[in-house]
Amino acid sequence: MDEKTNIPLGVKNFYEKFSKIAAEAQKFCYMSRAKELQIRAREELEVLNTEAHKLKEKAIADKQEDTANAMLSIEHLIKMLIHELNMWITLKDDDPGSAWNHLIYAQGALRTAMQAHPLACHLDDYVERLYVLEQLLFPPQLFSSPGMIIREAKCSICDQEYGKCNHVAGRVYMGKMCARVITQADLEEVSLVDKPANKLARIISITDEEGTKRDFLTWRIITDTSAEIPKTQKNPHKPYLM
Amino acid sequence: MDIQVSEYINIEKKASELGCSIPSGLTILPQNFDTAKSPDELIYESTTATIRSILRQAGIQETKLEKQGIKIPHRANKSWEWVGPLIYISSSMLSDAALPIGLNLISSYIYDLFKGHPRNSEGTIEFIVETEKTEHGERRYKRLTFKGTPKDLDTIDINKLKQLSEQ
Repeated sequence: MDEKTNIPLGVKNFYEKFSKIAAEAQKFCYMSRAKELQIRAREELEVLNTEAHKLKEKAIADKQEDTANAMLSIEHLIKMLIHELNMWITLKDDDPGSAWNHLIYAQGALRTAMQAHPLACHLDDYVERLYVLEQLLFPPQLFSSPGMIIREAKCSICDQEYGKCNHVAGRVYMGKMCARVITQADLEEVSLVDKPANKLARIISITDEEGTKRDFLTWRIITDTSAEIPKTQKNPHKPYLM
Repeated sequence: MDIQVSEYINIEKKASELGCSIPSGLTILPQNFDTAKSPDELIYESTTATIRSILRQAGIQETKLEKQGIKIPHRANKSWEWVGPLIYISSSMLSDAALPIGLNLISSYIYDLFKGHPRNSEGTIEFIVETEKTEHGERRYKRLTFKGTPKDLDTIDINKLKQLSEQ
């Protein structure tokens, strides 16, 4: 481990390559940059992401925990940049719903990167940048949040009942982030909240007193539900949108 | 850091009314322990299982409120805000050598968990501390609520718990 940078020696070369490509990609993380150049930067990052994933899997196979965790961190830094670029690209495509999702994914990826390994611990300013973008680019959102009683939960690392093993949610073990997987729960109610556990669960349309239905992000009137539902809601892999 | 100190109910009496094991040493209490009218109503804070793991790894033996074979469910967090469980500490546990280690491990977990969140993000953790006996020999309990950033919560130590619970 390089004590100054917290970078394990095994990933030093890849980290240098990543730093170079990431610095180049960051030049395109602005609204005014050309869309085709943002797409090109994203493509380069996607190639790098595949390489990072393979290196992480190799480190896991070799049981090199620090290297595996460092690669998980780098992998998520790459994902964070891909999502940020996607946010700018989809805003230009007049698809603010997807842009919102990409911003939230970018925030999540940065969080994972910082929790996974100390090599990303210097990125507090970037965290603030993504939260400032949330406030400046999008109107204040309304979120829904389910109130649940958890009956059963498992550990994502060892599949045992969560709490019985020594893995802790939010910590990284051999390149994998531990999470509590809820396997049985009772839904009590759904509330509107300001600070939700999941920012993807936003209210996407609102109907005023006159019965006019509007898209909450674009404020366009929705006349035909099937035609006007934002693209993001049609994707079955994004289950949290209401 | 926002600190609130208030009186808490007689834990021993309440546990016995609910048919639960009597808390001793260190016990994690359900969030509605003071208001629950029956054991079926009891519910733990969402973070309970995680804090239990951390305390176990610090070598702290927790006295569980629920009797063997009984399961108390957990409430899922609706908001992002991190809310720790209600941790009961008996007066004898306050001088146990393992407790400072447990508190350090909890604050270091919170510090790591808050990485990647905005600087002003706050969490809450609560302790019920056994203080002294009244003239009638009844035990007294104080509820100490701490709300602050991970840096703030890192300042919670045994001396602070002792000092605040004596107020």
